Amino acid sequence: MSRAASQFGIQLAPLVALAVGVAVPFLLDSYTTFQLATALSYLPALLGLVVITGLGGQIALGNGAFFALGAYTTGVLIKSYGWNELATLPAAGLLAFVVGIVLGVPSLRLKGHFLAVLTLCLAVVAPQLFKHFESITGGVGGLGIFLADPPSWVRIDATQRNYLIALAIAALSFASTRAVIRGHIGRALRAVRDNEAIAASLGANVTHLKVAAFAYSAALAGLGGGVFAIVIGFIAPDNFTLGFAALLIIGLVLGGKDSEWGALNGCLLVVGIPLYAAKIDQTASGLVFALLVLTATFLAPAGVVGLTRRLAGYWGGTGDAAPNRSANAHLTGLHDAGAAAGHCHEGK
Amino acid sequence: MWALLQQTIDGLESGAVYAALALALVLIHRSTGLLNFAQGEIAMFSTYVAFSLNQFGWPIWLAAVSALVVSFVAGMILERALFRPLPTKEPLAVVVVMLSLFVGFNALAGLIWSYQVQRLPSLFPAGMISIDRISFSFDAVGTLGVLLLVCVLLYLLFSRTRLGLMMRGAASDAESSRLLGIRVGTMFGIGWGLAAALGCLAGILMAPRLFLDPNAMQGVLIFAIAAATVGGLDSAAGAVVSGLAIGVVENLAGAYVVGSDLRAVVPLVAIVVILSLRPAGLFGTQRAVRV
Amino acid sequence: MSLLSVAALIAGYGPVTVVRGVSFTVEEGEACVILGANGAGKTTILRALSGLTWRRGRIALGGRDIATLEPDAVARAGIGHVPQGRGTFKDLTVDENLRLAACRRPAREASIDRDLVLDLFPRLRERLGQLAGYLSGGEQQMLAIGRALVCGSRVLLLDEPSLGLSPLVTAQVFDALRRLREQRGVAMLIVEQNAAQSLALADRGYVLEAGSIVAANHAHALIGDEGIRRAYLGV
Repeated sequence: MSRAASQFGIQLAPLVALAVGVAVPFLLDSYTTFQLATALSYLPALLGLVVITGLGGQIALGNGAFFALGAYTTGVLIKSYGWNELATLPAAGLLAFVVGIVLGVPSLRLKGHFLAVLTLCLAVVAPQLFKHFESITGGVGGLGIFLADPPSWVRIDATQRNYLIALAIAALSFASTRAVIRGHIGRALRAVRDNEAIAASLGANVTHLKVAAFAYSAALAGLGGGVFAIVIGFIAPDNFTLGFAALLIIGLVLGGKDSEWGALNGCLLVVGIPLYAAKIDQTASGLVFALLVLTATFLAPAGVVGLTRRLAGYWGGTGDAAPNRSANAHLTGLHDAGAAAGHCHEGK
Repeated sequence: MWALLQQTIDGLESGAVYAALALALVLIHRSTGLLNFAQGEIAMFSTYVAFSLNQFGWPIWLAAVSALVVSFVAGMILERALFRPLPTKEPLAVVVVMLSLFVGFNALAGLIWSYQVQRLPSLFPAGMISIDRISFSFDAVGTLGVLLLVCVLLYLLFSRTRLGLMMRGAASDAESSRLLGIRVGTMFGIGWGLAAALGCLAGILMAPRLFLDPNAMQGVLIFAIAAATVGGLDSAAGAVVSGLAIGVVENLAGAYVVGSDLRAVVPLVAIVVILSLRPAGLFGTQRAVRV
Repeated sequence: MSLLSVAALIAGYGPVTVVRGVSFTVEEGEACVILGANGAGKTTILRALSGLTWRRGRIALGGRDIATLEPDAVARAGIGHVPQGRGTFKDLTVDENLRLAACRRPAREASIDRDLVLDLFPRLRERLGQLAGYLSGGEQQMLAIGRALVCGSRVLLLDEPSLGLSPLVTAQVFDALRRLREQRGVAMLIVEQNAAQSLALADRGYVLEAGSIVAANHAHALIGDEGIRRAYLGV
């Protein structure tokens, strides 16, 4: 396939995916639509992880907590304050974003393990907090969210409407993350990930970059959580435990942590695998995940996306234009780290 | 005043469990630079092994010691089979393997033993010693005693034996150790084995009081990680001291400040504060990075 | 039969081949030097002997093939590799460094060598309780050499022992190596950029350029050679 053709294909791919996505609820049955909507609600969270963990190299285990925060924001606003469900979503994202900044500033001074530890604590503490503030969140018993059916003139049922909301948010997150990955900030993040000291010495404001990436991932997770609440209709603190956070990271790595398509693969896996595993045994899904990850780690360290790239390589194509490991790209990244520094200084 | 002392002593008992697991984390980190997120679930699984042996009719001490041996071997196998041959040493890949062990052992335990809460008999006889208005259960005394014994044994191992010296060498500089003929892989394996055994011990000490189910060690793990981290991740003494301190703080916070719901939150907030002020932990050493 | 014999050694890092087929020997009790500029492949040769990089070819120690052994097995076979940068255990004391080296041997044999090392390097004896990380460059070099000896090595591989050391300290190190040879008769293979001291110590030498050996002779003949003098002795 010639370069130009493959480039064209690359630009077109997201639109094709979107078109397929829109067609789905009208072609498939309600149950499948529901499952796909659930998967799409995870997509923003995984996209956020691509930015902070895949590109930024920061191991963020706490995004399950931001997801939960978004879910509860939406739930509480709809249930106790009667907001329209669509209006709650920006609120969910925004609140998560703000909390992300507040937590990000102190934690991003920490390197490697220490950050992972902190976010791990966050993942464990969050369900406790949600259980504690019972009056708002409904405590251990959970929160039910009852949405009115769409008006009859629209001709779609509740499941389809929920799906379309999920799709819209997922598409927006996808587009935005794609822009981040391919732009200045993505390259700057990669430079910081590869060699923080050098990136800093070239003028990147490393802390700003990291906090921004962290807050962005938090916002997306919050958005996804809000969608999740709408799609599922019932949330409880035990939905969002450490196991959930672990699942997000596993989904990210299995799907391919460096690209937005990897996030898409990941969210399909995160929903798909438990469905298959449940046919063996209810509790088996954890085991299946574990075995899958271990196999994948030893056979396909770059995740599904890495596999497809390798296959594309065998067919003689150059693969897509995304991150290549040549020295030049590295230097470009460092250059962009400096440029992004300029951005950061002016913008914030 | 007496109540405060009592709460402190109760806190020390849970702290001892955190300290034991924190020691396991430090052991692995010192030898291989990895922070093992799955340590708690491995500990939980080995505690279940002790439970099963006990159910089978073995006296609890025998079951416990056997479980310790089994977990030692399992730790060595995990290191040899999973972590040594990892195709990439990227932190994310390692974390993912650990998370999958986490999720995997949890699910496996649920499959084998169900999620029903089980009781594990204590290693120590029931009963209390009372002095004035403070009472120590034999459990508490025994737990702290075991921790002390473990610390002494580890200290002797690392400072007085050839094996301990080789392990320290392998941890300090793996390549140089190889050039001296030391089997570095075996040293790491022993480190993992010891860590697994320590985790098993933590589980066996904790289970009689807090009961056993597949999720039982998650709370302990968080505090153990916090203790190890605040202690500097490479400092065994730091981990033990921090573990005990966290147990006490948690207990006092639960009794006097926030109520038992949020008692877990206080030590974690303390961690955030400490790490913000001293990013390398309280007893840790700042390492300069050469570019 | 040579103590160490290397034939058609090819070695490198990853996809890069650095050593392009070299052959040399080291006899029992002999000191050999391999001279070469930066990048010639000297360090790579030593690392290949120890199994720290990929290698092809024949490597035999005391007649026994060691070309496929892992680094720790190579060391146990009798190779005492003193790497560039010394490789001392910085968080352990001098005493612990030496004890660690002695780990694999019966206590009596090891302590004879340990006493020898401390006699040769009195500074180490003064600093037994200090962390190795605090020693000066020269002292660390001495510790590294001492360790290889206490380990019971049959041949020492010394990677640029003069690197980073002042001329005075370099002279001290080479002097100690000379006394080591006299008292223990241990064989040595030294790779160096600095020819003066090493040729004065050695019996035979090789010259390495761009991964191949271009000259091999007795040390005194190499010292007398015009080309060598200009290239490596700065004369």
